[in-house]
Amino acid sequence: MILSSVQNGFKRASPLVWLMARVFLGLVFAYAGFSKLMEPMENFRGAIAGYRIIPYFLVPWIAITIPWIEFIFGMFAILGYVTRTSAFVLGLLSFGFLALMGLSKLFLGSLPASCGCFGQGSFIQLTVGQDVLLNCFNFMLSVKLGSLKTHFLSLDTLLRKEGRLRLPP
Amino acid sequence: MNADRRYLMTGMMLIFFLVTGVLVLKRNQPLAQNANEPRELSNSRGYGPYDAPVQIVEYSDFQCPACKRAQALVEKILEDYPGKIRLNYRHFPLEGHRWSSLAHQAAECAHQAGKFWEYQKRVYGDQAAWSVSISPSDLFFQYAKDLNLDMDAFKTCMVDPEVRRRIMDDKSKGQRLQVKATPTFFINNQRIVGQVELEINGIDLIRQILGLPPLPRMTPASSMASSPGTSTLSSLVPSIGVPGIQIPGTSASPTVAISAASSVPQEQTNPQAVASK
Repeated sequence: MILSSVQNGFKRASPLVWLMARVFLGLVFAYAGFSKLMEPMENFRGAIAGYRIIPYFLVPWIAITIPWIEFIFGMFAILGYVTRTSAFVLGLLSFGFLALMGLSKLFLGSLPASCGCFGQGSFIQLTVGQDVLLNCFNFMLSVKLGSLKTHFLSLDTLLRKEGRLRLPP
Repeated sequence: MNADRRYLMTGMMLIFFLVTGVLVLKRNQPLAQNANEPRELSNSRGYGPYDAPVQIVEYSDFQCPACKRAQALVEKILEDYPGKIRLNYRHFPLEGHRWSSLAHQAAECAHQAGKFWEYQKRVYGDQAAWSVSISPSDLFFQYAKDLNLDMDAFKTCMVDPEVRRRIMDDKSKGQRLQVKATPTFFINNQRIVGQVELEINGIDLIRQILGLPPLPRMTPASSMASSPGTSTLSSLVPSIGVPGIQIPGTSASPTVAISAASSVPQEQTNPQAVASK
């Protein structure tokens, strides 16, 4: 029932709504990546290590790469460049986070007090529950955005359509 | 230029500008480099000899559960390398923790009476009680009474803005070092964030500084599980008779507390710092 009404809502949404959704998704990830990049890398590393479920040899690599991926693909999503790929990558990040939370709860029986999603010193401080909800929402958005063939006011449209912007009906 | 090439070039330019922008902004950020301040300016909330080869600066928050867990590990490290480590404690009360500032004020007042570490032990040990209390002041006064502090001086100190200023000074120093989370440690100026990192990298770093080979690597969870009874709050500070205080995953024992107390470096005061207050 809820799923079908969500699907119906998606169908009726105008390109402008998808533009807003794309910018929202991009902003969330671009800000999350940017705030981590502005902090010493050890802060995010400590947050990831706190999950205790990720093999430790991966922790330094994740701490270095994830903020850049979030920031660059978040910005790509905002600008509408490689939009479907960006949506796929951001969806994968959301799904990865949700899987990590699920596995932490399953194997360790607890979740860290802070997910470290927006950097430790960010002005956005969400509880783990709020982060899970946000990531569920972002995952659904990214799946939908990845399935759209064209994106209103995007670099994709501008560059692929020889400079002609596709206007909403 | 065909559409594909133009598309690719746009992407490369975007990546170049985004990466360059972040690197330039990061480079221009003011960041203090040295966590260990000159001795005359440092506080005297410290264990161990001033000239110890390993200098640890700890920023933590009394209402933070991760700090409580990390404290047990810190004490085990101090116990494992006696005389080799100087630990300097810095207050870092977090905004989201309702009673944190009050707890830090109380601990700072205990520090004035030379009982910071004992008080800290009590505050961490009873964290679950006072952090959800409506009026934790009563508990903080009770802890002071249990430690035989001068209650008149303690009461005066609890409303002293100068004490509050000292706490916020500590926090400001941490913020200048981009401390964003607690617990954050600086081991000879190398940043270590969180208990797990301290457990893995922190101990390796200490051993490296001391010229010792690294310990066989264990997963954080297994290493905590494999060392029951070693990481207790009671094992370092003299027992103050707190029944039932136990760090999760460890087995605190009053017997251990009493026997270990004599081998523990007592709180040292820095005469220059005291004189400067």
